[in-house]
Amino acid sequence: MLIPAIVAGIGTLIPIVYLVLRAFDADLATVQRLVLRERTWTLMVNTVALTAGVLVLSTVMAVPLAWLTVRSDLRWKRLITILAVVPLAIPGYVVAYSLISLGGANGFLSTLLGTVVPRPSGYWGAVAALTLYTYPYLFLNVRAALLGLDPSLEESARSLGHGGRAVVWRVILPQMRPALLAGWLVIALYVLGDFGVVALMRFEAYSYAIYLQYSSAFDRTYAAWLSLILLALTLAIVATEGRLLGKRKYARTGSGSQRAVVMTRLRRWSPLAYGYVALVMLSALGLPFLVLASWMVLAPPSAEAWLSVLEAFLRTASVAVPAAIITALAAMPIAYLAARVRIPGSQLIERLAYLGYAIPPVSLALAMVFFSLRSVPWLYQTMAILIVAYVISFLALAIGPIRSALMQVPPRLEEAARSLGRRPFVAFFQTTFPLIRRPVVAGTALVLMVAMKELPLTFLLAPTGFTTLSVRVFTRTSEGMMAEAAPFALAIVLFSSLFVGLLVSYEGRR
Amino acid sequence: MSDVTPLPHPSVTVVEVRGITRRYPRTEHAAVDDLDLDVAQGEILCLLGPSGCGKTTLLRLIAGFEMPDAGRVRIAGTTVADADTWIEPERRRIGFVFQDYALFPHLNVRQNVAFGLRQGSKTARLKQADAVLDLVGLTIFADRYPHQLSGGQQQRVALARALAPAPAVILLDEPFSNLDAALRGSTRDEVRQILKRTGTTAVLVTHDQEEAMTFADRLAVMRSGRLEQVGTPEGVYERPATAFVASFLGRTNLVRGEGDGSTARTPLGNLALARPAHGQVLLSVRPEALGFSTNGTGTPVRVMQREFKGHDLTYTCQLADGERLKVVVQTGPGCPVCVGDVVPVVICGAAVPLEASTASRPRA
Repeated sequence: MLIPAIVAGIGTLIPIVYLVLRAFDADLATVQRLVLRERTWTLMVNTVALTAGVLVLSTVMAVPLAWLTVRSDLRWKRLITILAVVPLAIPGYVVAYSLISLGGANGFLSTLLGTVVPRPSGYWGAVAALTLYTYPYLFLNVRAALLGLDPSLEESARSLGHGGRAVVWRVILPQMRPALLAGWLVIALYVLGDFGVVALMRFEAYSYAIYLQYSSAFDRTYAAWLSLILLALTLAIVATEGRLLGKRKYARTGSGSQRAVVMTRLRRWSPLAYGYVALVMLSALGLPFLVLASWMVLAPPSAEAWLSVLEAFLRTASVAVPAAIITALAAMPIAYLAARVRIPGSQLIERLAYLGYAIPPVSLALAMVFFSLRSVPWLYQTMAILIVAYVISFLALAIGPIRSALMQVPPRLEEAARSLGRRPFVAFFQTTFPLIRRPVVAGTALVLMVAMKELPLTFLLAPTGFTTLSVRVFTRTSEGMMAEAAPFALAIVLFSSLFVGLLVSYEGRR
Repeated sequence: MSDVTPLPHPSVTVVEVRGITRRYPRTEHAAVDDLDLDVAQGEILCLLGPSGCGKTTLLRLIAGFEMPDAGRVRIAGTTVADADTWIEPERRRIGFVFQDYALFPHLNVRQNVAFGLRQGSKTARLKQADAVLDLVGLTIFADRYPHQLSGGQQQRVALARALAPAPAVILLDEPFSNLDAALRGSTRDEVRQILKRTGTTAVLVTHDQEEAMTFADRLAVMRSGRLEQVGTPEGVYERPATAFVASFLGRTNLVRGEGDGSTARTPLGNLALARPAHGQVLLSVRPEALGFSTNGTGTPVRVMQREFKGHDLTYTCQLADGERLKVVVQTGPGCPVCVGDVVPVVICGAAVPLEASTASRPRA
């Protein structure tokens, strides 16, 4: 268990090392001239402003929605909750695609209404697209925290003479802090790592600039430096979140079971609440589905087009499936080590896996390019290097569920099996593994789904001519061929939604 | 089945522990400190001690779940751990019953019991498992899953699972502590009978002195990683070696005295000694060895407290002549003495001179 875990853990570090090596290839004066120019600063301002904008807008979307589904007498709360989470299945570039196809001369609105509406682009286009597909992460966190709130705390505050507003500020919000921070962190990581949205909206945030620098200018040293700065920004945000969260305890201290919550009556506010929910649903979920459906009607794809969708789908699966299986195989020893083995460094390996998840994909892709060109040139532009990049990027997704499941299986079971004559490895597979099989399958499926719609790693690392569904959507959209991109986008959205549904029902079946 | 079962083969040692030491990082004292222990064929040995004394660590060292820092373990004549040898737990021919039973939740009772059986066809193994289930009286539960059983039934499944492969020794880690008081006594009797019926050698860890005394053929009292005293329950109770053993196994009066061979001068008068002692000695006098005299002889004490327990009465008294010595006296339930009375107390047995504790001796 130990050796594969160490290999997998250290594997994450190798590309970063190569990124640093490549960045310091140039002499110091060149580096200074390159890095300390105004453009670097402009990109920083753009990236931070984009992150801030998405955080604010997603909070405005997610928090009222979470409160309404947990604490109000709104109807169809379960349905609303599910619909609010579905956008997780829609990749950012598809959201950007739907927004873009609304406007422009070839756009959906002009075809439909005959008037040319300007295409959404730049900062606000990017903020809108990123918010619409990342807000569910905040929604889920806030919702879970609201569900966990103990109503007797609010009642104690009221009995101590605090009014409604004071209760919100002094009791509810402090308890929501960890959830808000966790949700914001995930969203910030998505914004920093995003490539598809900013590239399609042509907004110069770091990841888009890195790609431009790498693909057109061939100035790879500057691209390496930008990647490192983006990585540093990401790590700084992770560290800040950890620091803000601190070591405070938020769990209930008393004993006794929690009482049921009294739902707030919306009364005359309920039309407003329903309107709000409808607006959020329509923009996050309705927009992409309506746009895609309309394209199907307005410009029905030919049989030939559908055949090439199927081809791209199979091609995508041919890398996503092995990547998901390898990721799960690598995740198991790491999760086992982190949950069970108490040796110095066992937690560190798990942290490295999480680092892999936090590395912005464009930085990781570039690092993989440098790594393969320098050390294993025969792997450059092969499926193997793409799969390795997937594994590094998605390892943490598979570790999470496996690790939580392992924590719930008593280690005594394996000891019992060993006292009954089983070798350690056999003991694990006969006692612990059957109990964690579901999370292992769920983790593998999650990685498969994410890999199926992955864009930046695939776009930069895939062999020439190896076009997956996501690459098709991206290139067609950036060439303005909105109708031609539609069937590919539809395939991704349908596959992801189907998969999310399967995962939810599989998880619920225990 | 009588409590003092003669050992079937007193000469055959199944478990032999010599000089075993286990030290955890960042702790001052060793959890198990240079300890020797022998368990004979067919014997039930109870390791008794307060929590944190190292008894569970010792059991896990024998099982092979912990690696010793020094010393040697032999099981059924095979060295399983010493400076050059390490045999994994799965090859030690041990059975282990865990405190929380550790039944496999994904397997039913029959499959749990058959888990350790490796020989023969699948049907043969399941048949063998059924035979063991019959032994513990759980045949009708064979197709149930662990979560469908009561605590006492889970306990017996765990025992059956450990017994099925016929191990050289079965190790039980506080096996009755998760059962409620009403069930504990009866389960304990059943388990003891099963072990005796199958002639199984067993080592049981417990912190419950009553459990240890009723369950064990031999008791080993542990303190701070060392053995304080080993012997039959009667022997250890009646002749405790140290003040720790005397007060850990039931209540006792610790009385200082001046020994002159067969007797000692004490504040309670001249007491007969269970073994000769000279000079300053600390004596253990059990409450039931004391009584109130009706003929006026004895040392006068004032009764401070009276506890009625149904089958007996316990009095807490103080010497009447001013010396602040607390004396606990146990009498029959009909004793008429009341709180505040001054009555003479006499000894009806022998006082046991105690040695210094092994735990307070200098460490290696």
